[in-house]
Amino acid sequence: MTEAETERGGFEALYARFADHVFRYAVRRSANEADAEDVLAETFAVCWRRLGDVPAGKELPWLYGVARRVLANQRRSSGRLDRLRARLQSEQIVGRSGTAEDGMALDVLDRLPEGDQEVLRLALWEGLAPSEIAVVLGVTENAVYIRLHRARQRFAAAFGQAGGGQR
Amino acid sequence: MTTPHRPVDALAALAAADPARSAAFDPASPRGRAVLQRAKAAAPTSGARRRRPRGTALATVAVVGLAGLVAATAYVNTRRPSRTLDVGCYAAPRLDADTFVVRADARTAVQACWRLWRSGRFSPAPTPARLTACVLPSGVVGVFPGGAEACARVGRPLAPARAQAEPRVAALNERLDAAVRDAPCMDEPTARGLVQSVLADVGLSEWTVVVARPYQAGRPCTTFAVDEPERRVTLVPVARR
Repeated sequence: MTEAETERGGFEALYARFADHVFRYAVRRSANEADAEDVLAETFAVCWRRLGDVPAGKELPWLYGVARRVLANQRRSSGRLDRLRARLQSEQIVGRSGTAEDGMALDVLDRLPEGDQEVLRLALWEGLAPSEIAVVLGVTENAVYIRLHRARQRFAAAFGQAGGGQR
Repeated sequence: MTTPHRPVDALAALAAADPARSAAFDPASPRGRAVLQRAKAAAPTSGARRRRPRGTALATVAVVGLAGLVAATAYVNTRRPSRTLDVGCYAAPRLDADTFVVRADARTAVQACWRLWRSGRFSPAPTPARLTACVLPSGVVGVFPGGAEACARVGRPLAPARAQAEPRVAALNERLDAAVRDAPCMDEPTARGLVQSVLADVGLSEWTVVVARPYQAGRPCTTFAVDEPERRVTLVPVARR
């Protein structure tokens, strides 16, 4: 097997294992599934180019980190952030049609600083441990603990003020 | 008297509100294979991707560190980019630095990135004295702060000094962009006919036209991906905007 064939095999194995995770990561941060597919394709294009840089045992957090930068670049370069915000406001985002409490929780999350939002999403929706969140965000594990603690406090306070859970 | 909201309840509510809880993606499905092909189509050829051995890269960095400017200017390996439409403007001489991707259009890659620096997009990073164009593993031009040593630092060859978009490819891209603006939802036959006509007009008749994934009711419209190294235009079905 040539070096190129070995790399292709490794790449496709990564895709088979993690494409679903990366897709759902993108869905949570995109306006629709078509945009999420674009993010998925670009993330794995980067993975293909940098296959030698993927850390063993931390593949998924590394891919999330790439997807995060892909999303940021897309928003910067094409004004998607504004469109995404507009769609969020009109509640057309994928999966927004949940319970009233879901909607309230998501609205409260949208109003938090972006850093708080991301660390909460990574912990609660992607289910990452602080050491894995550190890989995604490129910060120390200690910094993640601090950010997570503050974000949880701020979210709980805002959710309470919005009347969440008062049923 | 109101009871303070317990964090555990609030966080449970947020966890339950996951917008992707019903989303699923099967990498082995036709849809999954199509996305995989798109990812590979955006990747470089194996020749362009092959890296210099790590030892060589480390030696290059060491030489640069020891001999400074002389060694930096000795790194004169220059390569032509295989993708000329997009330019990556980097905030620092690192491949993982913040990046803006811009269109090269009629300007050189360095000129395109100077415009971003001057507009303050990299703030608070100070505007560098020089920018240098290197060829990234993908075949795209990456422009980094610094002189020729910036390419050595990221382990990439220099791009030609006046690197800019190949005129026929730039013309193709411009015409397709304009078509999307003028006709926001083009079906596959219309899009295919348009691409073939434009390819002939700009002198790229040898290029091919492929479809990224099947058109569906939820994705009836077309956007275009120009794949310069593979000499093809990919029709990408997208949702109506």
